[in-house]
Amino acid sequence: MILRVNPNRMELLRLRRRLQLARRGHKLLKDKQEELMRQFMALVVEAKRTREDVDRELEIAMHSFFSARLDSFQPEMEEALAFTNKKIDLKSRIEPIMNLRVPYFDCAVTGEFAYGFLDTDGDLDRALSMLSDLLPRMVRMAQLEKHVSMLAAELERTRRRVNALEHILIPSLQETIKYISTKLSELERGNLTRLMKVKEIVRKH
Amino acid sequence: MEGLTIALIGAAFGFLLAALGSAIGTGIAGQAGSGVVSEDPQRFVSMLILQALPGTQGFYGFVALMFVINIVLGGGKMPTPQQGWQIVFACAPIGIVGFLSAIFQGKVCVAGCSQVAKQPGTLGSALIFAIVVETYAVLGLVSTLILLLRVQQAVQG
Amino acid sequence: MDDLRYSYAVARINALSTKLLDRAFASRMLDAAEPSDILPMLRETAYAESLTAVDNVSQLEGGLIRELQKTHDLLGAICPDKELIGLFRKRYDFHNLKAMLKSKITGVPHADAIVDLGTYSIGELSSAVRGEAYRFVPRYISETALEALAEYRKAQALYVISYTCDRSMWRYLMQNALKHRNKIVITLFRDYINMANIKAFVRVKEFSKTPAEAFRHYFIPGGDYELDFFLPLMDEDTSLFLSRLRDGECERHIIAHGFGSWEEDESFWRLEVARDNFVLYSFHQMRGQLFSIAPLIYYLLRKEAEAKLIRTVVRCKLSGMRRAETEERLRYLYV
Repeated sequence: MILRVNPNRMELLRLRRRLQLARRGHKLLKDKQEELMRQFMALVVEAKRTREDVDRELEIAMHSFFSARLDSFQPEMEEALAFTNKKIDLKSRIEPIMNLRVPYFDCAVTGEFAYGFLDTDGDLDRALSMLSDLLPRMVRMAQLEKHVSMLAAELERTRRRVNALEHILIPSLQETIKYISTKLSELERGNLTRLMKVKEIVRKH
Repeated sequence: MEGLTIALIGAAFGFLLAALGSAIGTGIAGQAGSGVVSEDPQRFVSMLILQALPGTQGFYGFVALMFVINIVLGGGKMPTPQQGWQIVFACAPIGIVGFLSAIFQGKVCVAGCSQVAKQPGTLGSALIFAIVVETYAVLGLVSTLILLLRVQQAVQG
Repeated sequence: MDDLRYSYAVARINALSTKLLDRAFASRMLDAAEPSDILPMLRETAYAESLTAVDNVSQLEGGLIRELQKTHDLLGAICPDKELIGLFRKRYDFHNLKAMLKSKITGVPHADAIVDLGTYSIGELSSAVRGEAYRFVPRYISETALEALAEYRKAQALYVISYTCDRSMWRYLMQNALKHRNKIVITLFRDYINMANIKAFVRVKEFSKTPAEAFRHYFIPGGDYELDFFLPLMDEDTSLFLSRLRDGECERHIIAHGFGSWEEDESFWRLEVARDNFVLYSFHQMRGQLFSIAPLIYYLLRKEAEAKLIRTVVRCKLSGMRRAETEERLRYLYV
């Protein structure tokens, strides 16, 4: 597609500069895309593994918790679990990956459970210790998955840009440059012919 | 001490022990019966039968008592002190056996009450268990009566 | 020695025990297609009265507690040794006290954690704990509360309240059982203490970072095993420890069944099932002792087992567990 420009030398120079810029940009974006892809693949693998681990352990923990609840009255369970001085500190900060600003979470659990061993059984211990281990990992999993989705969006955007540069802007710039230079040399040739004609007329006289 | 006094003491003790045993036996069987009836009023008749069983020892004691009175007051002669002591020992079987068997029979009846409460229709077997105990009370009475008969012959003869 | 005062209570309990849920009923419950089908089934049994206020399965818990309350009330009324049978309710006093103390410290309301099965009025207990005015509450409560609070102030950790109350409860129960010189109750409590200690031992070993330290806290004195027995075993493998226990009837049975498949899934519920099975079985053996407290305790234990049965079946149904798996979790009376 030829850009709608005046075919003159000024434009030609301008377009040449733009083409150069576009090429450089294209190369840069291409590099960025590759790097993003690399990071994305690594993250996806990690996120998948984390999710699988968390899912599996969560299932065991929930199963233990289920067993623990069968043998005691509801209020006994409440007593064991409701009163606790456990606190969860969740801090978030934003750090860049490439040009992306992605959130990071730090999760710290303090305090302890306050139940006794009498009304509860060991399955509750297992469930609770697994669950409290799982919490930071779940936060990490959420963080990873957020990173993956942000990277994916960024990757998509970069790829669109690269494609736009590669398939639209650069070809059309090239075409336009070609067009202008053809036009210019056409003009040149017209001029030359005109000059030769004039010269011939002058010689006849 | 006179023979009459000694004989009456023996008769009284025979009856006393047997009746006491019966009182305890029927008492605990009655409590058990009442426990069952308060949950299941239809069992009243079975419980009543089971409660009444330990009561028989008291009757046996009473029979022995009447027999002794018949000996000492029936004829014209009074028993000698020696014969009085004989009567005391003759009354011992029904007194002691009656006392113990009534209590144990009471316990068997309590067990019977529980058994009937759990499985209605087993009254028959519960009664048989109780009646086995009863046989010893009956034997006690029979031996007392045999002994008393000998004493009576001695006193009157 | 036979205690003839028990004949009324035992006969009445035996008449009542015909109405207990049995294997056939458990099987019917297990066959129910929906958890909600269980409710109408229960209405045909002795539970009808307790379940009048229960409309759906989720409120079942309240009905079960009411039924147990009725059982405790009945036993308390007919048992000749009221104090002795009352000991079985004291557990809930200590439970409520624990909940209220923790609630006072953390500020979390305690309404959901209270079990209305204790011997002491909840309202009075609550106001005593709130105002820290223990002068008019019974001594066992005030002593426990003060001890727990003192320990809490020292350690500044909430679980201190739990184990102080638990230990103080067993001390109280054991003292009273010994005071009444009732062999059956003493043996039962001692078995419970043994099992609580063994359970605590395995639990701290599995889950605590400082097992010896933690076990010192959770150990309950009064059982057959002293603290010195456990502490040297702390570093050994769990399965090895199990073989070290004295070959008592109780321990052998419970451990064989409770830890039989320990290697497989390391689950604790088997231990609970095995303990209940053992206690139920030993009282089943004693059911012929018509002139003792044993049949009354057996009835109470069976009522508690029933509550567990109903809860287990309903919960397992709700979670869609298979019948065979559910049956594994039931007490032997029902499968």
